[in-house]
Amino acid sequence: MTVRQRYAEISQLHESPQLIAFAATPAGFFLVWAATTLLLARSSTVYLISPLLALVLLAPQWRTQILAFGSIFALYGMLTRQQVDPAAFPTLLVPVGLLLYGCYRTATSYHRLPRFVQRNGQIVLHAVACGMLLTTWFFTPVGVDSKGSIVGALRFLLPYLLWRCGYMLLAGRRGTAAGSGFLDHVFYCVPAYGGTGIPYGKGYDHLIRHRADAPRAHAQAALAGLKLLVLAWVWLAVRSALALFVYGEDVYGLRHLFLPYAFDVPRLGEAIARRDSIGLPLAWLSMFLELFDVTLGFAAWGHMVIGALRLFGFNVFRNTYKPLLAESLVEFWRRFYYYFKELLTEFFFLPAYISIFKGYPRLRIFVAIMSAAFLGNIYYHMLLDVEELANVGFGGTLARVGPRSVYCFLLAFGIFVSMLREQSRRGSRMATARTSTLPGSLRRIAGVWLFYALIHIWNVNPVELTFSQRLRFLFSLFGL
Amino acid sequence: MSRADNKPKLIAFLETIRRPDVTLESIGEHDDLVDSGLLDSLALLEIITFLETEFSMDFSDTGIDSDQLSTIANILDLIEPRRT
Repeated sequence: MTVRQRYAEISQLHESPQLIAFAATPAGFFLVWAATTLLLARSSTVYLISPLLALVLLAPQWRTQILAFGSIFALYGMLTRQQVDPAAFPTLLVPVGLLLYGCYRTATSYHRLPRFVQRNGQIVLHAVACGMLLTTWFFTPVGVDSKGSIVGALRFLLPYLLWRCGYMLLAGRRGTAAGSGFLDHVFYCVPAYGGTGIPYGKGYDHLIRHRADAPRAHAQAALAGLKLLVLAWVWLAVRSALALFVYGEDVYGLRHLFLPYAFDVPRLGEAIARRDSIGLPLAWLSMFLELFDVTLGFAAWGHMVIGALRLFGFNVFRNTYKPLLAESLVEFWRRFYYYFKELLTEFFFLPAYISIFKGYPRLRIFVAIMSAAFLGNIYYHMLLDVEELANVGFGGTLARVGPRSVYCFLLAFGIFVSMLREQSRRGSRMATARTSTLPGSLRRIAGVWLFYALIHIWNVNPVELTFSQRLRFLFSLFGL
Repeated sequence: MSRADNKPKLIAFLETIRRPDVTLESIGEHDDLVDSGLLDSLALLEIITFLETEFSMDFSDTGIDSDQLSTIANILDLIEPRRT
């Protein structure tokens, strides 16, 4: 057996028929649960995921109800982290419940809605949400920090729920939500398995399609989930080693032990801020290390969430899948942050693509990509940062959004060019040659790293760094 | 046109946009076209264009999502929904 075959065997252990058969037994389910609890022991989600997983493994036919019940605790946990007074929790359940139930009713009777709403369901949803966000300004004016208050909680919750409700309406538009129960939608709107403003696992349609119902299929999904949790630990360990040895930071109080061996490379934000005092090689190194570190962070975090989702019996795709091995910009984008890419695709890219410039293939792709990776990307982050943007006012908002706009534009333009290149290569002999040579692959991978590392200059530390600091750093990398 | 008529048309089209290093014979009707490596995500756009031109489909009313284009079976369902 070659080394490659041995590696494949170990990395695909969760696909072993014997292991799956064992995992589908009561003893196997118990071991899966125990291993999960152990792997999540240091995570704040263990108190929620561990008991819910035990219930789901015991009664998988009730999984959506069990997870919907967990949603209440997940919501409470989220609000606590937002420093909201626990006494305000029952009050907040009312608007959240009303919003979700309103969307549910809309989704299940979608085809009875007025034609304008049917055609523009997402726009109506966003208009309502933005209207509600603007209304909160009457209660807490610009410049006043509302974090911790009910208004602050709403400013946090609305953008969080918005995209999930969007997926609910998409299911309504496609007719798949008809006949579903309210709890079938609650569990992914406020997920007990974790996540951010981006809906990991997407919405109802996607989750139902990837639900493992048979015990054997559930066991297979659970093993795949366990594998992701292990991988998350590996990436977290690599990140910690990077912080300790490369950045010379304190990790678990170990800094004093390893300080003499640390390289003390500055983080990219720091390198941009004090570019004049660090050498050119260190600036380049800092930039590439940032890409590496950010990628590991996304992979570790995403594996935790998707791992939990798989353990609950939803065999969905990973959020991050080997992006640093991508050979084109568009491939990197697909592998780096799958569920954000899907969000932008579903809510911006495809609607633009199927609606306008149908007779102009290139312009059609360009407009669709700009709608998603540029405008959609900016819009998503503006909504997410609405509380902070309210505090800094209009001028502060511009200063903050400016560099990110450059990042989003470069990203969108890069993806557009990469897509056209892929299109022209497809079916040609060049494509066959492209997959065959190692030096060629390495050159393309290096090109992808360079592009994403360079554009990240415009995305790092959104508040602290100015536009001109970033521009000066970029030029200085090329001796300008 | 029935599902049986549509399938060869779709297969013939997929042949023109597939990655050259993956053969169509190795992909089942329910296998994910992108995950199996047969297509890249850009190819999904070409499938939309194909459905618009070949079958006069207009998605601006109904909308579309990438899951609906993810397998040969799903695309065939889109062209002619299964009758139960």
